[in-house]
Amino acid sequence: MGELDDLLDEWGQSKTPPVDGAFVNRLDVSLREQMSADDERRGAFGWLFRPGVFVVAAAVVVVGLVIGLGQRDGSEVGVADSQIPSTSPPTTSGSALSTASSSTTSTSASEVAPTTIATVPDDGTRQTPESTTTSTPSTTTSPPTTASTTTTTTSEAIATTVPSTPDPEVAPLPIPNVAAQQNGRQLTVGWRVDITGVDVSGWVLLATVDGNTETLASSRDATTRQIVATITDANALYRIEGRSADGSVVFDSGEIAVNPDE
Amino acid sequence: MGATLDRVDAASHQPTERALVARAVTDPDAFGELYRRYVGRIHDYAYRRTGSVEAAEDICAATFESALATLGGFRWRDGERGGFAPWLFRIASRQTITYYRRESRLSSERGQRAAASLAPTHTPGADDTVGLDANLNELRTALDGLNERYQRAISLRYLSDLDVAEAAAAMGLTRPAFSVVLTRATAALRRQLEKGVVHG
Repeated sequence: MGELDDLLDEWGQSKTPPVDGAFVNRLDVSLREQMSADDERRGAFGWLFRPGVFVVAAAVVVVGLVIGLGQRDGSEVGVADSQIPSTSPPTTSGSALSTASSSTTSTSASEVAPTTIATVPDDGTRQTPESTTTSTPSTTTSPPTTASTTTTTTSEAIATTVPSTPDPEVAPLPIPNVAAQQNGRQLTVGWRVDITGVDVSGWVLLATVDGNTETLASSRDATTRQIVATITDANALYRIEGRSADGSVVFDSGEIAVNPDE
Repeated sequence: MGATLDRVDAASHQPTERALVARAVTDPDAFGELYRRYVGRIHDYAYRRTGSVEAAEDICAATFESALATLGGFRWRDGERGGFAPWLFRIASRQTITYYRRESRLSSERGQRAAASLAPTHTPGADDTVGLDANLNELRTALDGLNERYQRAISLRYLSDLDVAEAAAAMGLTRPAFSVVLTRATAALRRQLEKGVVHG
């Protein structure tokens, strides 16, 4: 990956020719002409949108309606009036409108209500003193890398998961190399992943039991490649997630196969 | 308008970009100022992507024309997703894709022989002032083979002078999401390059 990154960096710093001054001036003139043309077009029809025009138009409509109603046949009005009580009694009508209105408001509110997303400080590399409870554990498995090891027992160290997106290109990157070893009630999970360029600030070991997922352990160190946790349920399914500072999941191991206790 | 005009950058005594953008919707001079600030950056971006002065000028013109037409709808957002530069580069990246689509369509209409002279990496005038660079042409060809989102992610990250947060904003993504897309895009580019080597 490094070599390609270097090549891309070189490309980004490659020499470019100076912008042709004649081109810059031509485009400048063209853009100004375009703006002037837009202004003229707006000016030609702008009077339509002046407040005074609306007032006059509204007055004309009202006067027209008054005149029109005044010229109506009285029997037509009588027929219309006679239909009102049978179809929409005033009190019922008001009540129905009120109900409908509040119902609509309620629906809109629930549709636009923002999802609450927990966040963590924007410093992903800092350790979380209050969450780290033990030092480097004994290693009973062969972790894929020699990167640092952190054990935590809190579920609050890393922000909760942001709702996943259906966009496959934004979906979390897989963690292909994961190994998990059970030793009594101790579970050691190690993984290997290249995080170059990926905005990861911590790792979370999740345990799922009967469909309920909770954070078993976590680390706020992006370089962590091993987490040791205490097993609380023999039937739990485990996965590792790498998360960014805003809680987004950027790496996901999927379900981890655990090597059983020997 | 007066209050907006009064907002100036304390260091340079120039109108802040935010104030300039607000004025530029109706003031040709303000838009002209924005244009002059960015024309070089957009041109450089388009030139690096295409390797052609003609193509860079086409993309540049289309970008500012589109910006002028849609500036009224631009909303400045505070935080990492706001800013005029990401918005403008977003337009430029789309115009670059449009340019390639048009060139591709033209080349297919004119046949295989003409395609050789119209393909992005062989556009007349390509690299005409900095010399032909085989590596860059190989990269451009490989990049052309990626989907449009991957092309935009790599171009905005490496070929524009935007920082990562701005490039993410130009893609309409959060920074973590952009880093994920960019990782996939770079992996796809590597595969494309390897395919090119095998087939070449």
